[in-house]
Amino acid sequence: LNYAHIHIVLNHFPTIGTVLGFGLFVAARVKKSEDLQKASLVVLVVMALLGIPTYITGSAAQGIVRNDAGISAAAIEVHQNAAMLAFLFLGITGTFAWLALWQFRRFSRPSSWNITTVFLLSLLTVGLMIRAGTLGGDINHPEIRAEGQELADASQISWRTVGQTFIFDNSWTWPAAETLHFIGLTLLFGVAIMVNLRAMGMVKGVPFMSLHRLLPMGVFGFLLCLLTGMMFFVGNAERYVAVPTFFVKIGLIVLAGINLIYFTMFDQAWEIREDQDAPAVTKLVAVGTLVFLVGALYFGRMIPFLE
Amino acid sequence: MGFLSWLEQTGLATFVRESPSFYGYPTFLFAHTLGLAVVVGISSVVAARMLGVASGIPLAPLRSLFPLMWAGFLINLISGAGLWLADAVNKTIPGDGRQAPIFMTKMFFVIVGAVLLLKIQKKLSGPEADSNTPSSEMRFLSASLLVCWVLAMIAGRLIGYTSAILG
Repeated sequence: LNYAHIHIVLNHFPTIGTVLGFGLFVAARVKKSEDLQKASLVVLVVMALLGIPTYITGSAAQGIVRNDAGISAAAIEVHQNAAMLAFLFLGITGTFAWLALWQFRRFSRPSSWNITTVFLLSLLTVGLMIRAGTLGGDINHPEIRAEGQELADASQISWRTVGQTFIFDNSWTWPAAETLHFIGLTLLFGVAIMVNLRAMGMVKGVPFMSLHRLLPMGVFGFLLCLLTGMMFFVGNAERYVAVPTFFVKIGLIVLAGINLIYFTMFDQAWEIREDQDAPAVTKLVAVGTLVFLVGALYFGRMIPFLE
Repeated sequence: MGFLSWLEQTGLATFVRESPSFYGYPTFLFAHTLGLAVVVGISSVVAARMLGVASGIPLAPLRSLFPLMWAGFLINLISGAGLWLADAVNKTIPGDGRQAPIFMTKMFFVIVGAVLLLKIQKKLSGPEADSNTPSSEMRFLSASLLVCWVLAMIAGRLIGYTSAILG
C-alpha cells in the first residue's frame, strides 16, 4: 500500500460526494426540507475536508508513478491542473456551506445570498471535480480515452510550476506565508480552546450560544492556515510527502474539522446554558477536538526535524 | 559578551542546541508554539470580545481564563529562555549580521503585550466586568494588545530571516 493506492481510493469520495451534496441541495430546495438542506451542507463541508488529503496523496502519487512505463507525464500534468482548480473551488464551496450551517443557528436560516452562492459554487465544483476525475482516470486507463483523443501536449503550462516560481522567486512570499500561518493558528486555537474548554466545564458562566458567534473567527484562522499551508505544499510537495507524519497532521486536521460540524449545528452543544454542565458526548467531542488540534500542531512543528 | 558566551556553553544551552534527542531543540520549539497558541490565542479572542465580537459573551466568567493564559506565557518564557540560551550572543549583541535587532524588537512587543494583558486582567477583576459593556479604556487596551501580538509574531518569524533582511 502506498500513497498512490490511497489516492485511488480517496479520490472517489469528494468526486461522488460533491455530486451527492449538490443533488441533496437541489432536492432540499424542491421539497423545501430544512433537514435535507442541512444534510446537503454537511456533505459539502465533509467533502471539502476530504479534498485536502485527496489533493495531497495525489501529489505523492505522481511522484510514485511519474516515471513508470506507460504513464504519460503530460496526462499527469493535465490532471494536476484540473485537480488544483477543482480543489480550490471545492474548498470555497465547503466554506460557504459551513457558513450556511452556522447561519442556521445564528439566524435560524441561511441568508438567501448564501443559498444562491452555495448553489452556484457547488454546481461549478461538481463540473470541475468530474473533469479532474476523468482526466485522472486517463492517466492509468489509456484504453478509456476517446478514439483519437489528443493527449495534452507536454509543454502545457503546469500551474504547480507557476506556483513554485511565485513562491520561490520572491524573497518575501515564504516568510510572509509563515507569519500568516502563525497568525491563523492563534485565531484557530484561541477560538477552539475557548469553545472546547467551555464544553469541558471551564468558564461555565458563558452560555454556549454566545461562543457560537466566535466560530467564524476560528474558521477564518483555519482558512489562513489552509491557504498558506497549501502554498508551502505546492511549493515543496516532494519534501512534505516524504515526511511520514505529515499525513498524520493532515488526518488530524480533517478529524478536527469534522468535530467543528458538531459544535456548529448540534442541539446538545447549542443548548448548554449559563452555569450548565455539558452532556458527556459534548465533553468527549471537545476533548477529541483539542487532542486533534494539539496533535496537528505537534506534527506540523516536527516536519523540519523528520525529513 | 563573555557572560553570554559562558551561558551558551552551559549544559542546558548545549543540550537545546546540539542534542540529537527529540527532547532538545524540536521539543522546545513545539512548546513555544503551543504556549503561543494558548496565551496569544485566548487573549486575542478576549480582546476581540472587548472590541465587539460575540458581544453576548458575559465578561465576568472570562476572569478564570487568565491563569491559563499566564500558564501559556510561562511555557513560552521557559521554552523561549532555553532557545535564547542556546544562541545568546547572536540574539543579544547587535552587529556582524546577528539576529539581535530583530529578536529585541520581538522582545519589546512581547513585554508590552504582557503588560497590556496584565492591565486587562486587572480591569476585568473590578466592576468593569459587571456591565458587559467594555469601557473605552478597555477597548483601547484590547486593540493595542492585538497590535502588539501581531507585531511580535511578525518579528518572531523574521528572526530566522535576519541575513535576508539585514544583509
